[in-house]
Amino acid sequence: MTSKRSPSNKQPHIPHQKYPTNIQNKNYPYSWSMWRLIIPLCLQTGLILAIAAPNMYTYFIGKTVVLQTNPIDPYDWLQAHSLEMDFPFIHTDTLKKLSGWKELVRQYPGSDKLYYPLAEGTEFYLTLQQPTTADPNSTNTAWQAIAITSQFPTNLAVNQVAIKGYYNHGSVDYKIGVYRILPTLHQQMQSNPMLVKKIRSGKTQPMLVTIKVSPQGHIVPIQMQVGDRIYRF
Amino acid sequence: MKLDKFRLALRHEAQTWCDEGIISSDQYQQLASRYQFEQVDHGRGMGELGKSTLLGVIRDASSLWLIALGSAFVGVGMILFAIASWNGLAHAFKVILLLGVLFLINSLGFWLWRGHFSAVNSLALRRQFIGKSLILLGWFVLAVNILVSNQEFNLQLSQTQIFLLTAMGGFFIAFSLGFTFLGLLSLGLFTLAYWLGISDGAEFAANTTNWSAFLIQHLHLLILVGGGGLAYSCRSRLIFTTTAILFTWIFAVNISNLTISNNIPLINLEMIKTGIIILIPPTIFWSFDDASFKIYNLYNPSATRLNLFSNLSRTLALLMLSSWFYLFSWQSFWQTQPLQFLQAFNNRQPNLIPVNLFNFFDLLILLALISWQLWFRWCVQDNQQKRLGQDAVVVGLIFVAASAPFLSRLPVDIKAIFFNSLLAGMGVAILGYGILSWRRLPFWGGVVLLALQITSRVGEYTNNLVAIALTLIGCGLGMTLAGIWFEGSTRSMYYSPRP
Repeated sequence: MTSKRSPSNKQPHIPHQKYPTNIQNKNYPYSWSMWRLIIPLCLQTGLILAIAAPNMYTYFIGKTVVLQTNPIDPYDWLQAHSLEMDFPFIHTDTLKKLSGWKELVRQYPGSDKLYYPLAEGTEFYLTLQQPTTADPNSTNTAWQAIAITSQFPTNLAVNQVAIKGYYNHGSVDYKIGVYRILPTLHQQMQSNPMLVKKIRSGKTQPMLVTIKVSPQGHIVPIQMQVGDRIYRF
Repeated sequence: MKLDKFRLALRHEAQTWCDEGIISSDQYQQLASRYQFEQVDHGRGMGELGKSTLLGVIRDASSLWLIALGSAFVGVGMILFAIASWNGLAHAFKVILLLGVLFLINSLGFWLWRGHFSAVNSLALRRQFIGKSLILLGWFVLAVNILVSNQEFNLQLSQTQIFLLTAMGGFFIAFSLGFTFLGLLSLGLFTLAYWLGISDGAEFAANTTNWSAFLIQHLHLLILVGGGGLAYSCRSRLIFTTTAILFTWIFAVNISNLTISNNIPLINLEMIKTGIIILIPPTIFWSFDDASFKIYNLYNPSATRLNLFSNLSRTLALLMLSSWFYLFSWQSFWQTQPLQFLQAFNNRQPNLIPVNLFNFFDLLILLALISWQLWFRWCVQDNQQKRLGQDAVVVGLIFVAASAPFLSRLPVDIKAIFFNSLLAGMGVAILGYGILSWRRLPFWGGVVLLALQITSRVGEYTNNLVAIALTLIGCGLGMTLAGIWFEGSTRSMYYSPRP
């Protein structure tokens, strides 16, 4: 394809094109700039960092909250690869007693009144309140759930936070995650038979989970305490 | 090896010619510089012809094998080290390590590919191929990066989100490097993510605000813009077609999942949604005409018109339109509940998304795109009358097709006859256009359309197998004769310009 440029003729000559147009003739120049690689790589890195950013933000800015799980069977510890944290406010029975439940169900009704009262994937905010520590020796330092709202609650007191949850197939997911039991932990257990005995013979006891809550309701788990043992996430 | 042997032989012969006076010493120098005779001795350290031929080959081969074996050992050792000490590493260190691997592999692939664009010999082609495969490997490394970050930082990404992220990463590289295969894979992964998103339900729930829900609800727009850009970057018709198909499907599903929150009784929402689904995709593709774009191509300064996809996109629009007409020409379609085929798109019946500002804005963007494209098309001066005429007819037909859901009151016979005649008219028009401009695609398109219409009408209205058989034979004979006549004519269709 040549262009005949003359001073008087501004329009370049469009040569007669064959049909079908040969569009596979990509004119790669001999020197592609390095930016063609660097920019998408930076975008990819940015993508990976961007999805980790909310967690980082919550970790540094968030408020520390202590939650208590339902009692767990200590035998689970030794067998599983991951431990699900079973909070009381994951189940709909607990949620039904809180204020704001009826309003939420009215707004986003689910398919079955008894088993799936809320529409799939509905997102709502659970308000947690810090217990008043009148007795400094009290072991009950876990925050309690008091209300549910569909939007972020506007009037939170100083000792209250709100966490975001999604209704998912009959229970609620707060995106806290599970605790992965690493192989190193398994090895630790095996090398310490006294500890294993203590765990096995212990009764079921609840766990205290420390999390950080961001001002938007996002949660990052920090550590987990069973009895007197503390495990970091 | 062959090149070196050839060079050795040529050098020997050229020296003989120079000695005998067949070529002058200037010409010998020209040959020497062109075929790089001095490189024959370069890696060997031996000047003798006989020894360098045999031992040099062996030495090259063995050194290569040793180097390859050594680097394989190093690589396997490093991987094993990483696996063994995986759990002991800190979170951030793992991510940085993996990011480093990502950068390394992509750079290697890019360097290999870029250095060998002018593939004149098999070695360069092989290097190009290895470079491209390394970039694909780099894409998998990106996926591994995302998975490991997900685990380490406890991110709770859903499967849909992981697929979306990987697809976006692949899309960036494919767009920047013009890598068709990777572009296709990324589009496929977007589709997979969408499929997961709509069947899983979490992304289509009533009031979710996470980013993947937003992305999935507006994926049709992103695929249109992104896939279009990718098609231009890779100069690939396949990507354009895939984008068109994906856009149509995703748009249909997204629109069919909308609802208006407080039901206004006068508007029948299902009809409007079906009408929109039929109306918008063919119009977008019909009005897309890049022959009127004046783009100054950086690499090839003489080309100012970028006429890549206008034929393809018009063909796609006509294909969509004719398939709608074909569907509407069946009487059994009108006899059953005609809007029920929309249910095939909509599998989240209780969970429709209320029309909010963003969805409406989406639709407005598409309409603006259509009008801009049409205006652009109509502003070009040459062939304006013909173009206006064509556009008026086709857009009119698209509107007629889009009005089909609203015609539920009319008797079935009239609707069937109407759409049948429209289909026949379209077939004849396309066929005639193909004959007039001697282009193969419209000709065959028209023939197939007419034949399909005739056979399906006969198949629908009679149970008489003899009649059906006779029709099929007749159609087949007609097609064969028409094809022979068309191909055998002296005016070759490859060299006539597109009007």
